[in-house]
Amino acid sequence: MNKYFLSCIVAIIISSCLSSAFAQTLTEQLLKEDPQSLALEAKERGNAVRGAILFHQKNIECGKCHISGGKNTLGPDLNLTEKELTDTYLVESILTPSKVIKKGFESVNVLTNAGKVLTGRVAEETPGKLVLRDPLEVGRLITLDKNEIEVVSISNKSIMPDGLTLQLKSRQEFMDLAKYVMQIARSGKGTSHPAHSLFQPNHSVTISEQIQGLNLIGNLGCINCHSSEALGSITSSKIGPKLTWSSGNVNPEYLKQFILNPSNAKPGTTMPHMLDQIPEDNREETANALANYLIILSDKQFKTTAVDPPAAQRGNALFHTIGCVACHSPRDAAGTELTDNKTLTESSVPLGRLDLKHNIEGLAQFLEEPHAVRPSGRMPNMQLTHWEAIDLANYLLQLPPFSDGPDSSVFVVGSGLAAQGKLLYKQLGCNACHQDETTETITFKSMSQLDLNKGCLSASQGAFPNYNLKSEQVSAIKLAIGTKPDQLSGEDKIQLTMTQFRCVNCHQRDGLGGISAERDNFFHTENPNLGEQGRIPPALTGVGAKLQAKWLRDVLVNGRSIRPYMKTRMPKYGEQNVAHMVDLFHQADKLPAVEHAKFKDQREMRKTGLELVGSSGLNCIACHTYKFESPNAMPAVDLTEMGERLEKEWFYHYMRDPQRFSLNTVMPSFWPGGKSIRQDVLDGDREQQLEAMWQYLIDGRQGGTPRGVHRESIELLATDEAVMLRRNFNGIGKRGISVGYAGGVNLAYDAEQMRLAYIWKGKFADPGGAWRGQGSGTVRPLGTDVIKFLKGPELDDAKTPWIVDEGRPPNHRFKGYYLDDNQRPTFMYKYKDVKVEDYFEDLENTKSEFGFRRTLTLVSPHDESAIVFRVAEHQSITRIHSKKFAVGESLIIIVTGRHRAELVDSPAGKQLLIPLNLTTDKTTLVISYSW
Amino acid sequence: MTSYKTYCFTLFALSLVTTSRLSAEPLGEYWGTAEEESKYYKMVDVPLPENMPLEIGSFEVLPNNQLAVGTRRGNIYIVSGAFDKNPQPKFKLYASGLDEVFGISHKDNAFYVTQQTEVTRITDQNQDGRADRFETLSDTWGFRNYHEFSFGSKLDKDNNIWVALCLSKSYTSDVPFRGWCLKITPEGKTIPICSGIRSPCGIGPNEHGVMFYAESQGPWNGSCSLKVLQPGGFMGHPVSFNWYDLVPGMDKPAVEPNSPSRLEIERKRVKELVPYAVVFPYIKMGRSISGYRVDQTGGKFGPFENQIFIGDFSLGVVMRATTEKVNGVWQGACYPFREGFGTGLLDCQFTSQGGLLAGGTNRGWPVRGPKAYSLQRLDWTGITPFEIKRINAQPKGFNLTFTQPFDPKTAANPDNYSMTTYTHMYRQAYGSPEVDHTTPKVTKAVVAADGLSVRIYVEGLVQGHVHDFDLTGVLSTEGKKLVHVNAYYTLNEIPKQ
Repeated sequence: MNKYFLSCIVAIIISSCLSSAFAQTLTEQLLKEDPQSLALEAKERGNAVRGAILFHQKNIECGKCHISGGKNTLGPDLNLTEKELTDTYLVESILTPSKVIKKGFESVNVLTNAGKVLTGRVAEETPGKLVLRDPLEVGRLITLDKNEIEVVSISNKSIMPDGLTLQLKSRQEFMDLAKYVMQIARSGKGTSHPAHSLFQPNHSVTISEQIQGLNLIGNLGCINCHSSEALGSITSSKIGPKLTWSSGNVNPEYLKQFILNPSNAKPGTTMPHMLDQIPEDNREETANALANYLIILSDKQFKTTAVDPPAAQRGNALFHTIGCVACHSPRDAAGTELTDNKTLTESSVPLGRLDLKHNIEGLAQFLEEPHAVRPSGRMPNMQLTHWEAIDLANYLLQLPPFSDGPDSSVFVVGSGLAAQGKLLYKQLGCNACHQDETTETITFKSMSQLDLNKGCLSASQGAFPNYNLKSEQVSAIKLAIGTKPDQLSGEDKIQLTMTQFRCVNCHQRDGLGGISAERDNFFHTENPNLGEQGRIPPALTGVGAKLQAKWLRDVLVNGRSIRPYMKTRMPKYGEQNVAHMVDLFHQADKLPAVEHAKFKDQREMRKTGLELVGSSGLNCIACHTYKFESPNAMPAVDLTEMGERLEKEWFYHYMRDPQRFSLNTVMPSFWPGGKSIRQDVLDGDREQQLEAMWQYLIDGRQGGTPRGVHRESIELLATDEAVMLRRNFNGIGKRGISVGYAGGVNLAYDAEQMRLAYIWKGKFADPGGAWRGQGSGTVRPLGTDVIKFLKGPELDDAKTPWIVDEGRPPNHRFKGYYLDDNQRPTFMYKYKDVKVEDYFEDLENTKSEFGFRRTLTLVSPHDESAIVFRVAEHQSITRIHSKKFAVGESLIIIVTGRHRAELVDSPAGKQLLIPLNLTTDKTTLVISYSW
Repeated sequence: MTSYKTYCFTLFALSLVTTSRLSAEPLGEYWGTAEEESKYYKMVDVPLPENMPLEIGSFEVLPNNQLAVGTRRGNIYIVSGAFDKNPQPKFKLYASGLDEVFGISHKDNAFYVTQQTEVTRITDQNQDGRADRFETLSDTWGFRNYHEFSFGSKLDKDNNIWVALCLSKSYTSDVPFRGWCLKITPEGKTIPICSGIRSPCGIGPNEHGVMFYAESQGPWNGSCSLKVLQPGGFMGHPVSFNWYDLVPGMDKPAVEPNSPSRLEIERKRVKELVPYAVVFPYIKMGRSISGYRVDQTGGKFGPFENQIFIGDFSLGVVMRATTEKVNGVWQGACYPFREGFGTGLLDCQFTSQGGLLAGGTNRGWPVRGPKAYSLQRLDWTGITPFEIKRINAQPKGFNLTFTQPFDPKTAANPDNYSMTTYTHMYRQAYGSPEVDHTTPKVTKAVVAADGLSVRIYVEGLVQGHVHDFDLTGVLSTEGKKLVHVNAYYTLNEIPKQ
């Protein structure tokens, strides 16, 4: 059983029983049916755009084996299949791959002498060797010595796994996939691209001895002492940490021990053994004097603080996910470096005993801004927030396992030693690397004056530091030392920088570098649907032709990132260290010129592009993020940044055939064999379609929103207290105030005409109309049973009321509101000089009394009898008893208190009025609404 | 958020809406100075709680290092910890249910808030940390269209709020006082100040305490500008003339401006017409200038004490401006300052510690910043950038002051000051290209003894034009270029000898 199958099974087990049962039945059902009618159905009802997306989706991955233009792949190139292949054949092949196996694509079973069984497609056979293509891992070859082989037999099982349909969610998906496959097959023989892809390396590159030598010259800082204009222009020479910072931020005792013997204190350090040149007996006191000098470089006192375990735990997670372990050794649960316990065989950048060296504050400060201390950028800025830096520092300063705890020897400040140390600092030439501007630097012989067989490069001891170099390192340095800038190609320079800054630990370029197998499991993604490209930092092969210079600079210098799903961070390396890469990449990477489609009307083109990007076109929006809103399927790179980011030439090439650029991509090809699967747009012309999309994309965030973008819908709900929204409401206008009450009833109040405008039950409101775009829409009540009241102020003159129109009643003035403990408002307004307060309470949520009780309080400075309160106006209002009225079909209004309500005829039918007789005392009206 | 008992939660739904949009115009190139700027002014992210759609419309600093934030969605949050060096702020909902809070001021335990509908005095009577009384001070103006935005100042020295009222759309004033500035007294009295506003996006005093507002490019406005809200004045867009009838004692201008024309010509015809004090040339200096504040941090924000800092909604930049009164007319200059904000800026505010907070949203109009919500703070790193500090008009040229000593050799060379002038059409149509270009000549550059200022003599000053400076050749004593080599002075008046 192969890995592919296993993962299918695992996927099925962890998915819900319901869907697995469904997938099972779907497969069974499809197998039962006549392939010919299935093919017909697919042809008629399948959607090739959706099929294309499925074809490359992580759980199906047809495109991994059926590579367009690929030679010697696991599956046949579907573009190149014979013309006579019928749709029925294709449908059968998807359902039962082993029924007919295309010649040359059979798999073989190999039994080795050791009893191991291997399966694969024969990639190559020589008299002595058999090379198999591993079906479990695309691109992997298994080479077998024929002497080791016991039996080879041709398998009647296809390499293509059975049960692909188990990965499909519906019959429609099967039809979509089949339709797309038919389209590829029909797009014709021989129209495909050259055999191997533009940017896929066919080999693994190792860097030359010369580049290795230049890398060493840079990292050891050779030219800091021995000046060389030529080497200075080639290699970035690393300088030492700023000692003014180290003073106060590094434990003085560590400083002393480190000076005394650097590689003892920190195995693997590039700091040379400076004191190797003085008699052993004097070293201790020399180191002490130097340390004494260093601690007076700042006023800061070194103090340690205790590690905070929860912070350390968070730091552990950061350390192992954001990319620290691309260069440094990962650690086991106990905190032991994997390089120490030999689980990891490859080398790592050493950290040494950080717990003896730093305190939390200092280390966090360094991690947050490493280039302030080490400007040469070998340690990049990981874009940590202050708090992340603290977490990480806590983790790194945890006591390592099996250690004896902090060194008990306490550093003693000696009087007069600092002055002595200062002298030594100068004499030993420390400042050549540490470059403190306030200190004088002595000069050494320039590089060209040196005898390479003497001094640092010799194995002997003398008046020079000991770099502890291996012999192959010495010969690489000797080889590289005479390099002139014009001897290096652009690619050489790129390789050198990528090596010096360890870009190669994460990125692969033309076969150089990439994530090592040992560290692979520390690269994670937020979204597994994106497949490998979701977790593996992108290859830099051809990157100069892909990214616009400004964007590339932003990535390199400012650590700009466009892949939020990737947990590994792109760090910042500092302008002076890597900005030159922008030009180098651009000069090195060129794509064959493409003729862009011509067009007349840019607006029309953009419109078509918008259509193609949307769900009714090529449905890019199904996988790509749009303005930070990611689709359900996966959060692929944001569409609105493509135009700012990509070179147009690259876009044309890539879109034609994404897999040629990136084996890992799940991006489908919509023009298999050069033929568009959307023949109905721009006459199916590939170049025209590409140009239309490009014209849309360069509009960036200003472009229109494609169809199918998933947008949050907004629901504003009252839970256990009232919630208010002042906004534009249908039928009220801009001075509407709506209130959702905990009791499940809601109202909208008109703060311009001073009236209850409508009431409803259930959910409160969707403010989307007002909270989206420019806000030109209205708020939408979400619930049910909406009852609307007619326009016009409720309180008005009895004889000559304001004639209701779209304007503002002249004698009413809104004065605001105040809230009770449950956030329920009491509205305040003035009608002439009458002060009104209007308070609504949601009643008990019982069937009989579901609704509002409204209490109005009116205060007049004088007696007033010529005013009236209009409760309701409707075609039909009937009196049930003296205080109870039925308004329309469902609303019951009860008016209690001193005032009696009256029913009068009105143009709309009936009006329910309360004639008022105000005195200077407070007047109260109580009106209940249930519906 | 659970303590507020109100949930605004989101669901994912498939929407088939294609939005109508403005015809796409390029947002313009970056100044390209962000990397250099960051050495002097660090941009600190003030993290927002996850899933909180904080569409910042206005800020106010409260006692005890607290910040009040008014939002477009109508909330007021009290934020603590936003001024910390490494902020981990806590947000507490103080009030909600308001309508686009574009002005917030705090005094004696009360907030004075300008929202679309009204100016409101908001208090917390029971002192439980949440507002419970909302008194309408004035809602005198008409409000019928969503585009009728209202921007309110902070309380002035007499505790008045000045409100700038956007037109109904770009071309109409459908209901009372659209296109006017109104002054609301603490008693709720409403006093009309001036007409002619188009689309304000910021209002407040200049560095001399005189009330200004930020106007947007559009009809009768060739480019964005800062204008003085002169009582009885006319700000340039004549469609709001119909409301003079509602203002006893204020007469409608006897003459209406001609279109197309030049402001310099029309201000001689229409005596009420107030010229733009500082023009922000379109794209070069923002596309929609917004909220602004005067630096009164006492030097905590660097060398620009008493200057105006103003954001831009479209381009997400903060710029500086200085103003002066010459021959009785306000005018001045604007200078690039800091670019690269995460979203469209609507307001900015100096913190008690001397940082400059800026925030907004990218909703509704084209915005360069990619984030829907963002709150960021500029902190001065303590390193003084080499910048043009200010430009003042002189009878025969300008006086230029710098933040750092210059190299006297480059500063004394008149060839290192290149200058063009231009103006915009003053017309009813939307915006204007730069027109009437001239190239004056700098004949002499006289360096002051302190090495910080230069008096330049210019042949060919043009009254009414923007004078567009390029000082690429002027170097610091260390031989460094200016962080920003450009500045733009609007020369309404040439000082008399």
